[in-house]
Amino acid sequence: MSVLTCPEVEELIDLHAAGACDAATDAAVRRHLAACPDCARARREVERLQGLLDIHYRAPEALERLRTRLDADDSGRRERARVLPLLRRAASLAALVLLSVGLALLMRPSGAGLPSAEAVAVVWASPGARWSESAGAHAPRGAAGPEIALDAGELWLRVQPGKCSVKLRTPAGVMSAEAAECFVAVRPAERKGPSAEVRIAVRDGTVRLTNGQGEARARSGEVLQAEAGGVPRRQIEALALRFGRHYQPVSLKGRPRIPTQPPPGALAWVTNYAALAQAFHLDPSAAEQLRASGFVVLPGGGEHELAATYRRLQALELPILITADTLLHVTRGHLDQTLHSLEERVLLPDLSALTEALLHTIDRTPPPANSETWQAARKQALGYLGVALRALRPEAELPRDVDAAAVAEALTALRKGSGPVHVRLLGRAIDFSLHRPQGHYAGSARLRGYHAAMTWFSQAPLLLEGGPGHLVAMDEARRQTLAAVLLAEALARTALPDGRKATVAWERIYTVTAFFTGLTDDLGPQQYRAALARAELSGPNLGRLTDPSRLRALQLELVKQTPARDTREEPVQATTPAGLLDRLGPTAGFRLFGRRLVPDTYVFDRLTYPHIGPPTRTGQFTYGRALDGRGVRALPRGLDLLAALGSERARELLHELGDDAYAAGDGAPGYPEALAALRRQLGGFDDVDWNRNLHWSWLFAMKPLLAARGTGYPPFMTSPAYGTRSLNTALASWAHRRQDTALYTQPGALETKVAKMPQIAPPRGKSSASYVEPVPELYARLLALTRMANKGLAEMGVLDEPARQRLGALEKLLSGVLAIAEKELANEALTADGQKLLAGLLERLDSLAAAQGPRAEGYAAADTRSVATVYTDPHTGQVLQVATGLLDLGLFLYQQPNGLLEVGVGPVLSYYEFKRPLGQAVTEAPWRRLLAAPGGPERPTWTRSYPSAGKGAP
Amino acid sequence: MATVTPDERLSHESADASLVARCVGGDRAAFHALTERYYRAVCGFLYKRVQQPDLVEDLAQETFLEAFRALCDGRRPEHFSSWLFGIAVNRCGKWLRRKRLPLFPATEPPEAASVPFLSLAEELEEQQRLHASLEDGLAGLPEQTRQLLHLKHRQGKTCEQIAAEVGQPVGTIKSQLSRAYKTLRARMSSPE
Repeated sequence: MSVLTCPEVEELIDLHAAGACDAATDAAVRRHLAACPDCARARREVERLQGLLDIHYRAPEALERLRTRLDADDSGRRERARVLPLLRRAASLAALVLLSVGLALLMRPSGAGLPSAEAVAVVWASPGARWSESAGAHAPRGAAGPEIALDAGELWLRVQPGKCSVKLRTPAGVMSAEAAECFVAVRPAERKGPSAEVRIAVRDGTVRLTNGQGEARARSGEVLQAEAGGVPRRQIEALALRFGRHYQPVSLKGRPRIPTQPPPGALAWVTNYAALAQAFHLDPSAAEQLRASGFVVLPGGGEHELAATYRRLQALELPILITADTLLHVTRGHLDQTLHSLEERVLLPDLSALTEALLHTIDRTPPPANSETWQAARKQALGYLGVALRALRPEAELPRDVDAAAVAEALTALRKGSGPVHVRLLGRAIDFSLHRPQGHYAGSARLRGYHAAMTWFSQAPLLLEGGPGHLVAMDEARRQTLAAVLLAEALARTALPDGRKATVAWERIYTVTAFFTGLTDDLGPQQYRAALARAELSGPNLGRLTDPSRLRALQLELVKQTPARDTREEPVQATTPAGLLDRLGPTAGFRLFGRRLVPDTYVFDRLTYPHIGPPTRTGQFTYGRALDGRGVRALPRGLDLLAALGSERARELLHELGDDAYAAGDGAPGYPEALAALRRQLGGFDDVDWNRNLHWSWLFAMKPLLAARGTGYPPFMTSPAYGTRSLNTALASWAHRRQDTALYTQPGALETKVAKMPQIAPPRGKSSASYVEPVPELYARLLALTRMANKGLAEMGVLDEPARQRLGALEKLLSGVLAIAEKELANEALTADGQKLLAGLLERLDSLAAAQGPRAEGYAAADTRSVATVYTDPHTGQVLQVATGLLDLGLFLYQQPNGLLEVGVGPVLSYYEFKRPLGQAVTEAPWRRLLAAPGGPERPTWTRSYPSAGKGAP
Repeated sequence: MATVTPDERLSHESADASLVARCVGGDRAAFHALTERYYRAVCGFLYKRVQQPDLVEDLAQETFLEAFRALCDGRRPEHFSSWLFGIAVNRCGKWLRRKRLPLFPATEPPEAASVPFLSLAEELEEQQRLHASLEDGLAGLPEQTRQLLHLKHRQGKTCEQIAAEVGQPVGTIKSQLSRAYKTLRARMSSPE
């Protein structure tokens, strides 16, 4: 189209804003607008009308959605208010607020059970600090808490939970806090200079800062600042807030209304009994289980793909039931596939370019001072990057100053996944055995390289503290800290060959992985840079870092930025700031990409020695002997996680298995009390808290499987055996996801007889899906999670079209399944559309599975076999591994709305857990061999409590 | 409704105040009434700031949710509408800041927590006036045209899809829509 005049554009402008012009007109209008400010201004007015029309027409539905969300929020609040006594409620709300920063909040001391000590403790004051305590003297009416005045210097304060509010007056504002820990620093006003300033680094709890200009609040990991006469401000890590925004709960329609029915007198009453009998020769005990409990799980026939299993089931002429296991597995597979594709397309190239650019920056820049210490630190920083670069690109050239032999040595250990091995570059031993590539990482040389580089950056920190009782000598830790400083500084001023800043690439890698697995609270480049600035060591002052007192100042600044991780439930004892370094743990230091702490690991940590008292019996799964010969709860087990998430059935099973037989003692609570405390903490979170990232969201989605079912559900769902079966399903899906995310998250084989697969008769005609296991809450949460993944990754600009389409197809499948499950529970017959949807489910599953076909050698996201190490116990030298294997078959008895009883068949996931000696964890290939071997691996005994005595048929 | 007289504003505010009081007392329906009253205005205000229709619903939801939680916790704002718009301002601010990948450098400019001084009452009036004149304008359009707008803006259909659905040529649909937009704009910009 030729050049347009202003009147012509005026004519077209509305359609243009409405996106209704053809491509040529669209381009011509754009060209005109780019050159004509008047028309461009007019166009903005036109856009406003478009926006208003969208709002106007979409408002009724949007209001409906808002109302649903408000109602859900309100119900949640009412429920919590009813259940939690006031004090615990206060504690859990504080925890809730902290959650978005990561797992740090879980590490806070609980408010419950604290002795009535002083409301506030000044743990430490900087030399020369001017402060005074005036207990309640100036407290305003109604708030009779103690007051502290700080005019200059720094205080480390701990305000005990469950006590009154404490006020701290500064020249720039008044801080108030309840149940919090923070550092408060005041810089007094200078004559003719800047006015007084206060800065509060919050390590735990929530703190408020108020002055005449306004108010600001901050929570763990955040910082408040104000100048006298200025508005209080807050620094936040915005990612925590950003992810949660993508989660929109999917509301459920209707209530379960299936009439309660006693079990049938005999299976012969079932309408498709003849087909059932023909397909499976059920032994009497299995048949009785099916009749009495409404379902039975039969050992499968060696399938490890859902699509193949469903295809074989179609030949049985029995109605097919779409199990919850199926949807969990398909959703998990899609998340894994999405991560896999992002790693290949986006993260690996970014990491490679970032590492190389940083290496060149440090190589080209002389160190801040020409001392031997700085030269050594520079060489160490180069070596640190060299290992990762060679892992990513084996042919890459390294700068001359790199100790090539040391790099090669470290790289070999890393690639082999060696057990504890001395790494010369870092002056200490590191255990890589828990970080061998599994799942999609094992399949290609490039991803194995990415896995090795990421493992190096997250598991091999440059240590902050050395000396007696630490992993390295004091000198070595100082050198490593200087090397970390060089890396952090280099990151801030490096550009990549494509013109992007290195920080942009770093952020993208961190953001995407944090979205999948969670934020880190390890120390990284951000914290080191901020600490340098606070200790006034940035830029030209950097050279002064070799002065030990300056280095100590930097370390202290780093500690302040680290959220509290006190593990004992008692008030913090007065200690020195240097003592704080010990509380960070021996491996605190710089990681280019930090480890992600996940709630499962936290639960396991809290339910094992030394956080649990001594055993009252021996021989149970979790029992072990520490090096000093004492019996301890050495390892957790999967049921611990489910019990902590609220499952009563898991709690009962743990009791039956003796895994709760640990009493209070040695300064630790007994198992029952520790579990109750965990349940209180986790129970205080609402769905917004649970959906800060996809890993948390997955645990949240599993929760409906843990609830006991009452009336209104099909009979098979109300039996205790079904409760156990649901635990098996939840754990199997969780175990597989742990393998998928093992690279970013933190962390023996038993034998039994192999389950025999029923021999399935040759195809006679195809049956189609006729029932969906009705767990709508689960499907709604999986749907919300999938949408969150789709929206979140799209906003980050990293999703390509095929990935978007795959997630879109999954959304469709899940919403279809959700709608059907709701109808089933409402005991309504499916409409023609519903039936069509149900009939098409298998096809949809099939095409989703086809999209999940093998992408890397020997690996397919749809494969049901996985193995992951989820816990390491240094006291007994053992690890807990969880695994999934071949599919079983479930037979489910349900009633159609017309009253007829029918049996449907569908695949069920299998779950395994076992202990192994540290360094001998089972990896994927041996696990698959073990699964295929006659006699195969043994399931946990508790899964046997649901029937599994089926035999092959015809 | 071109402008709001002081009397009208007072009566609005006293109606708001009684709804707020009911809401603080645990009456959820009262809050639903407040959402009905202010939803479109808040959305219009948010749209003006973020210019992304898809984002507006998210931010509006967050705004109302935050307001709802605060009322449930016993907060009694003096002027509900200004207070609500204040929350919307904050939500926008947060979003606008999030938009720049805010992780690095760690010493990024701190977030101002207090609400910048704005005449929120004027904002509200402006939004209410706009929505009222839009509604008047729509009421003045032929039913057939309103149907087209419905298909376009509620169902998000393209002109081609609409043409197929109503059985008319695409060109006719486009010219009808174009005329309707121009009529509505003229209506909204004239201070009646």
